[in-house]
Amino acid sequence: MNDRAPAFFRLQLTLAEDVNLVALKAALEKLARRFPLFHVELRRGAFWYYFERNDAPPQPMADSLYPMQKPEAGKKGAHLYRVRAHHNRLALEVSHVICDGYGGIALFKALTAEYFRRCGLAVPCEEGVFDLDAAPSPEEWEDSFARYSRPGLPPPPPQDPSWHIPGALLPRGTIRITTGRLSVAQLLAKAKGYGVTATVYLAAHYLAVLQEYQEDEALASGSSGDAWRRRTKPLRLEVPADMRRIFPSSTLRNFSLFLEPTLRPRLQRFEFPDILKIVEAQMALGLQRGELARIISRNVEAARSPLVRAMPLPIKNAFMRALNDIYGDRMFSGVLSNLGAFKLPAILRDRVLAVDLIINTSPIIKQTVAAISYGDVFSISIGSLCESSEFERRFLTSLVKDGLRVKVESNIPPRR
Amino acid sequence: MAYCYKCGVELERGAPACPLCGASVPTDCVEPETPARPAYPNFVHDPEYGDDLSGPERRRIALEILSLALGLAAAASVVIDLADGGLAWSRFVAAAVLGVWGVCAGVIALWKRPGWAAAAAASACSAAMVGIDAAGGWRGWSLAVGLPMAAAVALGSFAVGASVRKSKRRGLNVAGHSLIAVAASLCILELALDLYADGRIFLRWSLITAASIVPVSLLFYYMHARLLRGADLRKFFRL
Repeated sequence: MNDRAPAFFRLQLTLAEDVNLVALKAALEKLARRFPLFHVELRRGAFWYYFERNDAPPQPMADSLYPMQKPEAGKKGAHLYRVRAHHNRLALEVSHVICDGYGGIALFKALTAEYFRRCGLAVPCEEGVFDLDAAPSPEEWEDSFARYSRPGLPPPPPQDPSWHIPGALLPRGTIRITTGRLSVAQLLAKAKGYGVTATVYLAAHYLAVLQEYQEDEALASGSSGDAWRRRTKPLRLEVPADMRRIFPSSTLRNFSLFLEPTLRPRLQRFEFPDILKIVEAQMALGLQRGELARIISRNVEAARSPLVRAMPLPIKNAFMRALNDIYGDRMFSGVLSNLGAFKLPAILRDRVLAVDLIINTSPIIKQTVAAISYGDVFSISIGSLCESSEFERRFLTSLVKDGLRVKVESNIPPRR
Repeated sequence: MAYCYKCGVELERGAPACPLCGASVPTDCVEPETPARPAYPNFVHDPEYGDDLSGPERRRIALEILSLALGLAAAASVVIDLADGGLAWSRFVAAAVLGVWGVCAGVIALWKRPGWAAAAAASACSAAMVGIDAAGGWRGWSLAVGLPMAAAVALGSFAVGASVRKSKRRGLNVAGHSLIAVAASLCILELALDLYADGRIFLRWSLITAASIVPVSLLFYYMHARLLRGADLRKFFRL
């Protein structure tokens, strides 16, 4: 667990009315029996961290100016998720230690449905809302990575470190969240106009903005002409992909891998249509079953290695932190996560106005882009640890320049 | 509906400035009658903040733990020595433990006043040396060598602390200041030793050490000023 960048993500709803804390508390109490996977605490073992059951429901807590900070994870009796409320905003912050976006959405939908039931609505179990009276299935906490690992596959090729946005960091314990909201219909029409999906369209914008940022930084540091390109690093995004679409599974635990669309400005300056083609091709290639299977196998076999298993936890922690720095965060210039359409039963349509997804970032990558849609509202939230809001400005205005109408809000004013 | 004239994005109702570029919204575009509620609270609320101890509480607990640990160590030494036939070596241990306690307690209690903390630590250290000297049959080394040395270390620490406080960027320049203070302290130590042993001053090893240390500190100053451009050490090593 890294205090500087807790591996948390946050789903938040903007409701038509203020949150009723009594109903929320009652809904949380009912969740515990149906979702045993989430009702655990993280304990420190001699060789590994492990989960211990904790059936006490977490208490709803007040929201904070800086979300997803200071997690209690690792403390005795502390849950790996928390539910926060502020006026008409209801938020769920979950640790990536227990689940990915799919699991987080399942929990959040169940919580939302039960909350509104406690408020007097008859919310049916549809659109992915779990029945809280049904017994939990063991498949929900299956380790699907282990199930689909095929020992003996060649490991994926190593990657070179990528370029990162420079600049001073915000003080520890703070994060800037900038949310841009746009029309789903407009965005899909724009992406369709280019012949790509919304995720490819956003990834291409992300890389185009990073390319422009990198060029401006090179010019600002006194480089002239194209000489700087020879020694520049690639621009690579981490785009999480849900493995359940390729490897059938109903687990709520982590079961996602990353696609890695990459631009190499060392080769040339890429125009936006070129970037779209590159991203689309690389993402399609990354989603090949065989390519994914060898990543899964490498990760699972590494954890099964006798050397890794015999390593005491403090050494393993230091080792993994170094590995994450070298082969994790340093490999990526940014993160783009698109969870797609968040659907709720029709009865809640007028009671839930907007949904946002926010993911935390690390001091190396510095900024992440997370997207989710609800009804006709497509929400893009940028979590940033940079003092400067230059990336947010460039990314959101690039969408505006492409003809999209974007409405913006932020938790803190910009420092430039 | 307000738009940022620079970025072209739509702004929240009642927003006084664009969150992206900071450009202020013309007052005729702000709708004061129905300002939107802020999306996030204007306070920080995280569970661990409630568990945080205040500075004085932390210092009191540290002092308690220190006193208990050192007291037990001193008492155990005295008991073992008594069981062995009388108070002999444990007198040195007790004096040393008292000295360590005095130094640590002074620093903990006067944490916010580095000058006073350095003076308290030097006094406790000197008193401990006088105690050890007395326990060993009083040869006078504690006054002739111990006191000047404790004073030199305290003055050096105070000077380093003061210069660090004054410097705008704290990085490798702190290491440079510390090395210079160490070199000066070693010269004072040899001076005191010479006076105590021979009654005359002839600096040798301390000058050689200083001649080795000072270039390293100059290198640190250079790196701080030119190469690292005053980078903060914690950021440089990603602590």
